[in-house]
Amino acid sequence: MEINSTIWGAPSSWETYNISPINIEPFGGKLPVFDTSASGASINRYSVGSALAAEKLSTGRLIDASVCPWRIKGDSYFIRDVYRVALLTGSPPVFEASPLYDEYARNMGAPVALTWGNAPSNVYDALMLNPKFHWNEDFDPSSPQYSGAWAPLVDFDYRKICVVPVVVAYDSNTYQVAKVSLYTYLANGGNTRYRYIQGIYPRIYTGGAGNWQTSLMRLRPFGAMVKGFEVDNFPNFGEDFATYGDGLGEYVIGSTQSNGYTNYSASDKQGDAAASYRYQLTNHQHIFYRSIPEGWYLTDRDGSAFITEYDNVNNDFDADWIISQMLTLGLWVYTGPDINDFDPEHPDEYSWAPLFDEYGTTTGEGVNGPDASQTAAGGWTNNVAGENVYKGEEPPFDPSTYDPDNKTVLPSNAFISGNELYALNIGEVQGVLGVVNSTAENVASTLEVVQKFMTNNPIDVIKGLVYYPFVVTDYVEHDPSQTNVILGNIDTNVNGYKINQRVIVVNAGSCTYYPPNGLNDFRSYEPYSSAELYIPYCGSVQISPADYIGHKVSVKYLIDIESGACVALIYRDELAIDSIAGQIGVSCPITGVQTSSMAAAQEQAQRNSINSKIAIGAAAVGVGAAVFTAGSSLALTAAAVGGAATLTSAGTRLSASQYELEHQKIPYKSVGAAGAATSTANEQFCRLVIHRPVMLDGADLAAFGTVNGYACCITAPLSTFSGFTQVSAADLSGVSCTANERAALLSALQAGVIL
Amino acid sequence: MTLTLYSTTDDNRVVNKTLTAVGSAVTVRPTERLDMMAPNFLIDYAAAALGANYCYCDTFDRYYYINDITLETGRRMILHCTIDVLKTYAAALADVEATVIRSASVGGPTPITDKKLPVDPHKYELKSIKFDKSFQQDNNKSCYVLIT
Repeated sequence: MEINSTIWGAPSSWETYNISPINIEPFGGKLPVFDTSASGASINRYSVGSALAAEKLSTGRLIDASVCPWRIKGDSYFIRDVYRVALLTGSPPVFEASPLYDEYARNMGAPVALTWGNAPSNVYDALMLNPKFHWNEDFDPSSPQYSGAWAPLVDFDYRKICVVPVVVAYDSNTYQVAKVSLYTYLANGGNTRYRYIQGIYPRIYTGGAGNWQTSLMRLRPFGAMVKGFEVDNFPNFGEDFATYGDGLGEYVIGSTQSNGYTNYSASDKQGDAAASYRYQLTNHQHIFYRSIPEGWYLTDRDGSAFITEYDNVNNDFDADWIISQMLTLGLWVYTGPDINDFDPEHPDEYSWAPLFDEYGTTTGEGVNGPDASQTAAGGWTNNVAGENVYKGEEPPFDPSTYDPDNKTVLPSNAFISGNELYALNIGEVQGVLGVVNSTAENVASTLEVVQKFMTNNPIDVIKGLVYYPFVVTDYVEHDPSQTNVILGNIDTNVNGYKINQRVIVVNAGSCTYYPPNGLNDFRSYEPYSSAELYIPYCGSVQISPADYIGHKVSVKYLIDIESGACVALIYRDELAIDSIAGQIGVSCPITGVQTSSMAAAQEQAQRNSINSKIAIGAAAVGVGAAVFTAGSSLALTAAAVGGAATLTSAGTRLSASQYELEHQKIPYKSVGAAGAATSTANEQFCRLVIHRPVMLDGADLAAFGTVNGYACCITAPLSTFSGFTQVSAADLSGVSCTANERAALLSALQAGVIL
Repeated sequence: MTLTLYSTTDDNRVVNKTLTAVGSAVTVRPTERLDMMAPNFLIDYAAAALGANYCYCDTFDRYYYINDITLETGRRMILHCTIDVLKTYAAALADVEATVIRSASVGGPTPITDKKLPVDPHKYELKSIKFDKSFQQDNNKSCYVLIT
């Protein structure tokens, strides 16, 4: 069987599989093959080009990722099916619930696909008899839920599937929620009996003429169509859902009947989602009472998620509108009393064939009766429409895809790097500096040196100190209370706020850019006017008056508080359209003592002194010292004195060692370079600077206007103008004059007249 | 054919000219031919006509500028005229739909660029608008970030 390859990359045939990358990409490089060679035929996936794939294809059928040759024009109210696609087990089949209640289909431009059904005993029949609709963009073949059973198919018998519209409503005769066909709904009096319509959904029938059968399977993504349920309306009509005339109390209790429906009665007891304090609507949505915030809400199955987008309930669904919604699915729609009367090859007044536009998108329109056979879809036997294929052209760009809010939304995630950050004031900074500048004299004791400093230079822990022209804790996420600043394993006993966020947003305020009085014309725009925005710590940025005139101009800084780098976003109203980078943090260098180095050097110097006293006349440097020290200390000592150890005579050893002890060079280390602080002395607020033109000295604008008029472009009757008036074009057809006079009139008007 | 003579001080471009009658209507002597767009009317000498610069011809039902007057022999004078289509069709012009590109009645400069406007090409004035927030530097508060 051939598949037209122009339909979004369908393969050219079942038997050969020269699949383009487009085809195989959805399947991750594997081909889904309906393998009929094995008993209990199943759909498996084989690597493209593998010998095994070729072998399987020789006996099986390629189930391609291509889709039906149409797109659905969706309605914004359709709600997705509650059930996630999954393999079913058991009898009756058990679906796996999925919280997809609040997803809406809006103008789905994506191609759709049919997938085959669940847990069939005969997979081949299931392919042909139990197709399911499926959004192509929703289809994730790598997902476990698609292992085997739910591969989309392209080859199905178009005349063996149809849709019957079903209305879900409250039946005032039975006090039950009823699901009736559209025909039954209309035949039984419509809204008179079936009040409070909850929604509609398409019931799928498969099998073909004389063999129609339905199943409980939903049509994805349209499990049901609920026009909406507004919580404020519930108290007004909720009584109808309470049985036995108890009326609606503050709460309700539901009791599930053997027929599967739930009767509700008033109750004075409030409960949780697991209890029956809810009304069950079609598609297993529930109205659930919650105390915080108080009221009735439309929730998901478990009452754990609120649905917030809904419209007024109690809409009277128009039958034509219901049929139109069904026709958007792109399948035959039957609205008659008995599905067994439906024969797509002989359509009657209740048989509707859908219409498509030139891009293959359903329109919601259709043709019923015998004329339905003359439509493109009316002639399809399978999804391959023969000459009526759609070329896969994309519909024209839909301007409704523009962001309706036109608003820049900054992400809220709080990125933090691995560094510890503390917000300090000047006093706290000085306290920390006091610690890092501890000198030998400040080391309390050798024991303390060993305990704290032998392995830790406080200055080494510090990566930088940055000053900001604002109170950092006003903008940054931080611990609620101060903690001690810890430098390695040294507690400074200085308090600071630990910061939990690296990039912050600082609002620098706004102004409104209005053209000045008397200049609300072309003079306020380029090239006659120019504007620049001075942004502290960033500089000046040229902005276009045309972009901002009449709008609010605001600035927000995005600041990396570790580096002090910033980006200033310039907003026109709610949308950021310009930016400039800068440096708002001023780096402050810190110089501190490498305390542990110093402490170790001091320790070594003491030992050297002792050793030298003991080992007078000893041999090369290092021998005596090596008796008591580790190699690292010796090296530190050498570094402390600024050079490698050198041979020295025994006679001078004593004095040299003593010199080391008494003249300990303090190892300093500087962290950070001095940042440019000039910006801190500049204006600390943004300023919009506008260069405006001025008139020539002595210019009389009024006199100019009288003599020359002002430039404009207005099309209107000349009676609406006065004074000097010059036209570029005029419609003189209503003037009864000669041709020469008409030419003279136009010439005069174009030269300028005085009305 | 009768001419009504007028004088007007209005600019030729004025559509609804203000006309002041001059003398009394005069009878036109036909010449060899009379061009409706630019007629030369031959009339008997009338001193008042010398003060006219505008006229109306009933036969043509049109208004004319008197561009020149020549005195002919035989106490005749010729009024050299050109048609004033503006005054002639003033009523019809009121209803004419036109795209106007310059007009005194808009009152002032518009967003349409006007290169005739006497804008100084060299001078500018600077205006500025301050934002409503500023950084408040305060060392005594947490303005420092220590990175460890």
